[in-house]
Amino acid sequence: MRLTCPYCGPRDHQEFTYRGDASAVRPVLDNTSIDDHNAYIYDRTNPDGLHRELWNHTSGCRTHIIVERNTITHDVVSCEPVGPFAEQLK
Amino acid sequence: MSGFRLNLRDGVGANLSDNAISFSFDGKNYRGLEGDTLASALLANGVSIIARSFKYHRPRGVFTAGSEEPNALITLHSGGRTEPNIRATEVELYEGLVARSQNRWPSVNFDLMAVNQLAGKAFSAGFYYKTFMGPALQGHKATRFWWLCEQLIRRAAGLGRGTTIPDPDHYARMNAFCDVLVVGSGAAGLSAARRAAASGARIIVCEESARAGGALVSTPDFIDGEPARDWSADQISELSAMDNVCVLTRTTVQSYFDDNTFFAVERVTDHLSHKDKTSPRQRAWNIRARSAVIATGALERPMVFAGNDRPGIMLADSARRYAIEFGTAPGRAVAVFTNNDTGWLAARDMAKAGVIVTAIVDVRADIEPSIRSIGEECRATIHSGSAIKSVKGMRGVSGIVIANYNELTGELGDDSKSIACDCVAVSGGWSPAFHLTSQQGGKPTWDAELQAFLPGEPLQKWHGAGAMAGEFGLTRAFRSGEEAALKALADIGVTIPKQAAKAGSGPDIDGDEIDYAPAPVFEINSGGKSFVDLQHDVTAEDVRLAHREGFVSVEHLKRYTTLGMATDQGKTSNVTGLAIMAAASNKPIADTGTTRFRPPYTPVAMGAIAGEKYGHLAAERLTPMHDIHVDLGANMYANGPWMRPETYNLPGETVEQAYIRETRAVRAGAGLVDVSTLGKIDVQGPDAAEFLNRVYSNGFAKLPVGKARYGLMLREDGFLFDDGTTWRLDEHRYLMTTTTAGAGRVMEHLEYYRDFVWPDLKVALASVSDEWAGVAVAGPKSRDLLKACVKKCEVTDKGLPFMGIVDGVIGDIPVKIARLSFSGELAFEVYCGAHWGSALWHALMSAGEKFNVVPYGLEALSTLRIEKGHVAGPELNGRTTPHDLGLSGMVSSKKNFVGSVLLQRETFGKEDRLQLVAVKSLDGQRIRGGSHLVAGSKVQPGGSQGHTTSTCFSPELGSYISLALLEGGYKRHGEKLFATNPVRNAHVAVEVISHHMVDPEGGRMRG
Amino acid sequence: MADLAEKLSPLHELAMPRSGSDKVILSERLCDSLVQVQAWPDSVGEVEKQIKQTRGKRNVMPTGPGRWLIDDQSEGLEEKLRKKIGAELGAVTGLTHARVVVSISGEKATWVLASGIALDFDVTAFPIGTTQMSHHHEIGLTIYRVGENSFDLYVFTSLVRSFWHWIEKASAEIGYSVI
Repeated sequence: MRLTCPYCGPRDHQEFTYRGDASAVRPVLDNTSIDDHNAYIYDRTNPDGLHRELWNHTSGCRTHIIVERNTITHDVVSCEPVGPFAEQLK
Repeated sequence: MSGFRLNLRDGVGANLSDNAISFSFDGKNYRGLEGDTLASALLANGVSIIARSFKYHRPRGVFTAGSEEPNALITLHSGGRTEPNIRATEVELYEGLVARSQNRWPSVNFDLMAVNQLAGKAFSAGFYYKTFMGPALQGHKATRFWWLCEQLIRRAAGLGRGTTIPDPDHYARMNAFCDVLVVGSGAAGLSAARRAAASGARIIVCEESARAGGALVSTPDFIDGEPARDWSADQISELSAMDNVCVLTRTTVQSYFDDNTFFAVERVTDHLSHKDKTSPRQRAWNIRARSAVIATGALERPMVFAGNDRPGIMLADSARRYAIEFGTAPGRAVAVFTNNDTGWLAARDMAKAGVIVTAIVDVRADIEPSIRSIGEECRATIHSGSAIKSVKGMRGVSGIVIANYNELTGELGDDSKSIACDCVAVSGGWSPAFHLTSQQGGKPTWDAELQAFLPGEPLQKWHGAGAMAGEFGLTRAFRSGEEAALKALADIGVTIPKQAAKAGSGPDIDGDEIDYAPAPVFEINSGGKSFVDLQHDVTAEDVRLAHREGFVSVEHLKRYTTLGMATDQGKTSNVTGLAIMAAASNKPIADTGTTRFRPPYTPVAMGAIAGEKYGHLAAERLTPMHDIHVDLGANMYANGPWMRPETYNLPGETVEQAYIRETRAVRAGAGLVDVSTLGKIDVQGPDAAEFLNRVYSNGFAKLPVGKARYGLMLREDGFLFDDGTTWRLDEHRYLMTTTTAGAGRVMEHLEYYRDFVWPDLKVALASVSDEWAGVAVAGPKSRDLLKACVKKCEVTDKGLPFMGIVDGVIGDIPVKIARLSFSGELAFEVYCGAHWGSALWHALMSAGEKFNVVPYGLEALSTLRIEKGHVAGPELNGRTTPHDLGLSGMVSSKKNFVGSVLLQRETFGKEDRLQLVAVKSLDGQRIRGGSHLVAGSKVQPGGSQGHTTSTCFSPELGSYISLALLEGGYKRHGEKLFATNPVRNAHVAVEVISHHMVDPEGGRMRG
Repeated sequence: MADLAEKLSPLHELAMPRSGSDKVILSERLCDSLVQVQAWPDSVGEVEKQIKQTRGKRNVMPTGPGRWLIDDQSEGLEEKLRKKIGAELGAVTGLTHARVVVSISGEKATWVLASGIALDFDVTAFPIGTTQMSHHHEIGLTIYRVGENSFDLYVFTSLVRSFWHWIEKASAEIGYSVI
């Protein structure tokens, strides 16, 4: 599988580390609800189709990207940058 | 069959040169010619039985002339190079080649294991699902009998045998990128490559065999006025000379992966008798192509008839190729059996080369006059509307029996006619070779006119050309190749101006234009044993049996009968099998569906996949002081990727004696240990303090500059994740240390929070693990040692208080010193730039001489911290919380941090959770890590109440000890239990004690 | 600046000069100063200016958004830059000891590199004077293209011996020399 790092360009997936479902967003720091944190850690939909997931370009520039990928056809639809420099990388 | 060498001349033996080659097969010496394959040379020498079949041990001979060969599997070489199940049709002959037959005893000509044929019907499809099940008698006697039978059958089953001797060859890898990959260098592939290369795009051409050209090598046609063979050789030379083209011959494209990534294997030295030691045996190519032209041609398939697996029965076009390319007659009298016109061309070309073709048997009643006249040219008797009823001969062919055949009803007439022959060349039609696109999920479609599956719609950027796409014949091959190239160029944004792109401006062809479509005849059912999948010994009756037993899906057919599951993946049997299944279920073939081909296309040596990783599987990480440890005679071992000293054994010492001595020496005086492997992360920025405060469970916002603090890091689910010490070097600059094993994990964890959770925080993170060499100086004399060598700063208790940091100089080396203790003794960690690490160590050893300083390794380091009760990896096992390890004091109640919320879960407050204790051996026995803590005896231990984590002999306590996790352990000090380990046959009486075993007040390290 | 101790490379005994083919030429060196500078999203322009103004640079390599790795021919660059780039502008990190530079040149340099690194080494994909970050299995690499057939590879110090073993073996098929 090839993923496109917004900084380095298209690379083999072995240069990246999978960091999980990108739709799992951490509750804000002052949210102390156990239920909200539980949902963040454990609840996943596991779709057969488009999946938004987080990858870190660990063997490259270490930028995080959100990859939209079809779990059935393996098509990589998009790779969007994430992080402090996301706007500049778009 | 008795093959022989024809008179070689122009057009007969095109691949061969005059150079004679000696080789051996089954210990017997033979002669061949340069350019022969092992198969063609054996045929030329009259050898007909090459192998024994998988299940029934039937004698088998050569069936094809290519990589689709199902029968002629042999074992090459010897010793570490032994390679079983090699197709003799692919082996390029070289001087001194040694090959032997396999799966037979005592010999391929006389194989006792063929006796299992007598059990015949018991070994039909799926027999292992129905047999070898015994009733559950006392002691399972009946089942054990079947198990014994199974052992014997397993021993007799299988094809060749591999070796356990290490492979002496090495393999290489290559990463390639191109605009267009062209797979196949036949007419279509060459045409596509020419067109694509002319645009300047980066092209790679991969050709499976040694010479380019595909069918052009053996066709009698002329192209642009010269023999097709010469024309294709010129084309490839021209292409190879272009800067933007890379031509790889002897390179099979094996796999087609996602995102247009292809895996190919180049056979670099397999065809050479003298192999250069620096050359890899094979090279694995990972090719990333922006677009691809798949021009892999088509594979001929046979018709199935009774006795169709005898040595001497082969595919018609292969027989033709043996005559033309290898100057070898496949038999003394050849009969052709066909359902299409190409069988007639095979007869004609063989006859022209000097082969005697006695008869042409065609199932079709009506034959085109132009085709029929071919038969007359060959002087063969023509039998139209006829089919083979049976084959005469046991270990070869001595003749065939034919009868009238109605191609519409499939009925054989009662008449019988015998034809004497020793070779039958069969043509049942052509199957496009779309294995690669099928690997990629492309769904094939059935073309009723061609009676073949076509590749179907592309799901990735590839374009089919030539026979692979159903474009048969040279004219259509050239045209479709051009068109495919233009489409591939369009994929990458290169458009050729209309004039230049005029497809159809292909070369001038002078040759046959025939119809490739066969009559829809796949099987002649005369009631005798007939084989569909030759390699797996699957018969037509097996296919019908599967259907009768309810396995009606094509996926079930494949797995129940194993048709198409051998090393040839059913290349010459899949379509026929499907046709028989369709007939059995009264469905048209179009409705049966197909199974998906799996990579690789042909068998691949494991070495080619491992490539350069053979021998040393993972890179070694070495500390800056590595050579010093080795010179000191340290016992080095792999700690994950790092090489670390376990102990510094004196001559005659065991590991245990060494670490006990080192531990005592540290607690008595001073010791040095290399701690360079610790993870080190540079954390900087205006928000660094806030960030650290959020990722650690204890407070970090108010850590003063020049001080270090031990920190606990939790996962979001509340479990301990890592621990380390973070130093505040400056207002906005920190150095975080992590465990050795956790460095990478912690870095990714921090980056996730910085990038995805709190991207507004201004925090910079950089790995500096390799920047710093670190030495821990520990023991009551450690301060004196440092005083003796450190300049430019104070190391007194006042100048460098507990957990303080100072900058100084040792020799000419700038150092940072932090007063930290892992061992529980007075201790300091001295850091310097890694390239000065060795010099630092020597300076410290030198300063420590008068204090009898000893170097100590990981075993002693562990022993010291275990005695002290400090937790490390085995306690931070991903299932423990700070409360479980007696570290509740490190959980701040004043802030929210990663893990703080789920740490509140009720279950973490339960009193019977596994809690950190220590256990002391009461009977002098060693306690092993991973032993269970139980109340009962060795034989009846009772339930596990916990387990031991980190063990050692404690010089301080004078007994074996271990840290352990015990249910409700905090309240059970003083209890007597057993540490039981059934795997190691150990059962040790222990007492539960507090894990703070040495200097619990901490006076030593704070002094 | 006081005289500092001499640095010792992990390759000091492995990379001994060796005569052989010039199709592949290998060498190694340490850096006098190797410094990483990370700017914040709102200070990239200012930091870039500060970097341009420092002298003696060998290679200035962009290694990520707002991030550079600077190889300098004199010692002390870390302190110099830290004085100019405070926390409000960015972060300066010393990596002088964290890398060893392995250089490869010659007409078959890209052949050797491509055999172990999954990058497109064609000049159109990897222009001269640019930097790419990648890896050879578990060994991270920062690669600077010095010329059409010349590359400087910044390799992690702890892994450089394993890396050298590999590059020598990969070069052996072609033939190589060490300078």
